[in-house]
Amino acid sequence: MSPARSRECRKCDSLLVAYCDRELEGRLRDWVDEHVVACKRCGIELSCIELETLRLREALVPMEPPVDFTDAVMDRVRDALAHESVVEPPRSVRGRGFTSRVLDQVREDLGEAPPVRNHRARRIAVALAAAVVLVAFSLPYFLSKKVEAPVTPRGWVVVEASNAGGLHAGDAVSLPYSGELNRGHIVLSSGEPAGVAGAGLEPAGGWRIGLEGRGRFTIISRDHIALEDGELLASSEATTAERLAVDLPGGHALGLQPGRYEVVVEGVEGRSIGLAMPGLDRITVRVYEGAAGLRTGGVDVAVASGSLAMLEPLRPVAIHPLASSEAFARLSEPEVRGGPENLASRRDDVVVRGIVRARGEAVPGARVAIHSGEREVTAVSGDDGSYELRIAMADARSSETASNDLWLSALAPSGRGDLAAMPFRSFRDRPAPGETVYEEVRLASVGERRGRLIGADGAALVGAHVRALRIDGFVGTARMLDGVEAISDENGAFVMDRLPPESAGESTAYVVEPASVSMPLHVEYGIDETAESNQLLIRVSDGDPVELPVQNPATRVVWILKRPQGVAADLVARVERIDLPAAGRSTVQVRLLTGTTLHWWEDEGTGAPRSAHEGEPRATGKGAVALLAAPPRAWAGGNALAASAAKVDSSQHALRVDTGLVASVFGRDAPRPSSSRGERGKSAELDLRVVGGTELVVPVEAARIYVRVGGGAAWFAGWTDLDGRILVSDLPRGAAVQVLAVSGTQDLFVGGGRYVVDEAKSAHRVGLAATRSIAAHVPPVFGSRLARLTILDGAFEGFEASARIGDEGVLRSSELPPGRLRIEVDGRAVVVGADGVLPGADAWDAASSGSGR
Amino acid sequence: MTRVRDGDLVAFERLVERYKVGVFSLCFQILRSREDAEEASQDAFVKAFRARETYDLDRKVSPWLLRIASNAARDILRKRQARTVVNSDLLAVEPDNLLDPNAGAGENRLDSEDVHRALGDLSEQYRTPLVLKYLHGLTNQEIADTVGVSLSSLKVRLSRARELLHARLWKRWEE
Repeated sequence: MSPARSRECRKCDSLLVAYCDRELEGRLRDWVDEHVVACKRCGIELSCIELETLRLREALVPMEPPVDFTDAVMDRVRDALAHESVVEPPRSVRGRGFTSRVLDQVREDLGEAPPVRNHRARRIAVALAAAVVLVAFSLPYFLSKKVEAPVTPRGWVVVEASNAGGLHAGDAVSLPYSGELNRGHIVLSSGEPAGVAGAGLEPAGGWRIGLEGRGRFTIISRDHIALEDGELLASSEATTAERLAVDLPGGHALGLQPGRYEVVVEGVEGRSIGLAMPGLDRITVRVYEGAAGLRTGGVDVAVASGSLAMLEPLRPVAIHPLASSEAFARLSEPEVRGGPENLASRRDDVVVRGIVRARGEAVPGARVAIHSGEREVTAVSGDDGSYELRIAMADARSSETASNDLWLSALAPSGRGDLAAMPFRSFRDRPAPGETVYEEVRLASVGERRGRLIGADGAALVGAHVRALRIDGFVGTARMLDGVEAISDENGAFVMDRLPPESAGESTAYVVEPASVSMPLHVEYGIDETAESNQLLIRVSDGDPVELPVQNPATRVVWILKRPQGVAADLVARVERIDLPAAGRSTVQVRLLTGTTLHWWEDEGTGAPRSAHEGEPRATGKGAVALLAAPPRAWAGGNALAASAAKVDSSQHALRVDTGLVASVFGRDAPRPSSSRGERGKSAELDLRVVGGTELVVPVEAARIYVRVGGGAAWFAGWTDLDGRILVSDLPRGAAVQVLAVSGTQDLFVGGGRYVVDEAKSAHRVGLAATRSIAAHVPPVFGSRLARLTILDGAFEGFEASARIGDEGVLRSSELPPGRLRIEVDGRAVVVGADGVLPGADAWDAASSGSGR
Repeated sequence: MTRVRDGDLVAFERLVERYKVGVFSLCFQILRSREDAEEASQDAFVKAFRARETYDLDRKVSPWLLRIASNAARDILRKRQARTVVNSDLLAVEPDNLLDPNAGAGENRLDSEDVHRALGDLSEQYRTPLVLKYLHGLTNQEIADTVGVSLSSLKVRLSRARELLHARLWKRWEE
């Protein structure tokens, strides 16, 4: 795993609370948006923090003071007023209490005379004087507003100066600012087009400079940073002319022109460098201690790609961009003088060659990079799309770089906004030191999703239907995107394009309906013996029967695409891929779930079902069940995606359904299915594999259920049955889960809840739309601080929970399911009716076992 | 507020009515006792009245009031700590004794009661900013003004508070 990844996670960690509180703006928020989708760990962390924040807000309920509070305050205020007035002796009002007399006097004064302290003129004069002093002292402040860098315990320093609490147009960063970073990160940014102005700062358009590194540094001005030692990574995405000077030891400067650039300095000692690089959009400068490689006598030094090492104390030099071939040629044939021991032996270089393509065509001008640890070497593809990279794999100082930590990435050329960057990916065939490998780089179109579905058994899911679901996280609605769909091929691969960009708060999930999965809730299944054509008679609840030809057994696929009528009219029944053996007798068992009742049919046939009868409900082992309630599902939470699959086990002459396959995405930094606000849809690679999970029972009637794990997008779990039940299996254990229920087809938000999947439990009952919270005063006669809550009737009869009674005697519990509620405290119990009103103290009876149930 | 500044008791009574819940809630969260919270909130309003002339009419009332309230609550907290120092050993074990070992056995999710408990475990310097932020909805700058620290210190404090809370809340899920 790349160190860069963990660094990103640490950065993300430090921003999650602010993100959750909607205090992040602009690119930083977008960055977190993307990271929590791409990184499962941070996604889950975000979910935990969201849950915490929610609970924090719930826990911090406003509290009513005692009813006589205002009177008590006013009494004390009057007393206070009286004492205030003692300084000015009251007028003679005798015969009553002191306070009353004073108050009366004060009231009299207030009512009839000007206010007690009517020193308005004096106040104005004082205020004017103060204002003059204030302005005099604050002028430097306004000209140079100090932005302090809060140091988080994890060592990250973040100065976020975008909007709230940060810099605004006209503000300026107070400079110089000195600090010492230990793996620190500092971001100075301004989203205001008007730019910033102030002491040492030039007015400019929207700008942003991110600095990351460690060591001691001084920000001399907004375009001038002195680094005393350590390392520094600077990045900037400026909309106007941008210039950043980095002083290295020795006092020379590095100036950068617009675009993205990067500066890495490692352990510089007694070396300095001065560069000016107009027109470059990305540059990597690497300076090794005591290294050689850069000649400073001339100005034509190419650093368009590759590493740079110094030979001698440097004077400022100009750096011109060169064609990739020329740049590479220069870099690949450095005249190494003095034999710096830290330069890699060329014998151990890995050479990577290839062609950059998009939609089958060569892409010139793309920037390809190879990464090893913290090192990066880049090259620009030539006119024919070809590129070549060389990176040293044996470092005399460390064997670390000779490890297997090699990654490839690519950026689309400027002007090709239709192409997305290729995220970091490893090599198919890991190159050995000294080896030359060929790697074709493919740049995807924006808005494209490309991936592969892999089932629980490691086999590809073939013919699965993938659709995109757009979730509005703010409103809680979800809609299927029309026309954005794909079918996986024989390798399980799929390509989905034309995915529209996401708006703020939106995310995208993927619904995968494997071809061999049925969705037979409320489906009756039978075979019409009288039909000579061997037709299956399938009835959906009380709807009209649908007749289907039993096709040639070898065909093995039966579809019902008719929307059934009747009770389950909102449900589209789709019975797919009934696999039958090609020959010989077979037994097909069908399990149907109607409400909570199981119905069984068995069919013994000779290659094709010939008879069917209804059998008694009975238990059966896995592996002999056909048409099991197995809703199609997909996970796209963070980098997880799951799918259900049914497959035929012909050796047992029975259908077998494997359900609830949860998948994780493998691969570095992939996928990034969620695009940033206001940006085009991005491409992403999804590689999905199955992991384990647990179950969740969601009692909501006739609703579509979406489940979201961690900070990822919600996924569609299926429809609830007529009794409002759905089995959502294979939730990752320990994950924070959010459940949304959407009624019918109206995209209407019904309700939801957040839960943490407990590893010790195999199933979770979740109250949704009808959940309620209680906050009730418990009579103070009870000594216990713990109450036991029991639901007495309804679907949740027997549901138990415990709740603590707070210091203030208030019992609180949230997300209680519907039904009469029995509260037991200290051997006494009371029943709360449907109206939710807690009876008075006299209603508490001695609790006995099962009382009230 | 202009009338309050001028000493109008009727206006001040309205102000008490309007802000008493917020002030009392803050004091309660700091002190975790209704009695102490009542005393602190009364003190706060009295102090506010006494300091009414220092109030800047251009600024919001609630941060000003809440700052006075948090100081009042902290005064009481200091007194309380001073008088209970001899019992610190007992206090140290009290939370564990109060916890029913079976209390969370039937629970499988984080609820606000957990947070309520965890908040109680935080020291006042961390708890108060959280209360001001998530109960009163103050901005970071307003909280910094209220607590009397710099904005950067406040951010550090808030960050640390959330980390402590996070560690307490999720520890059991990680065990």
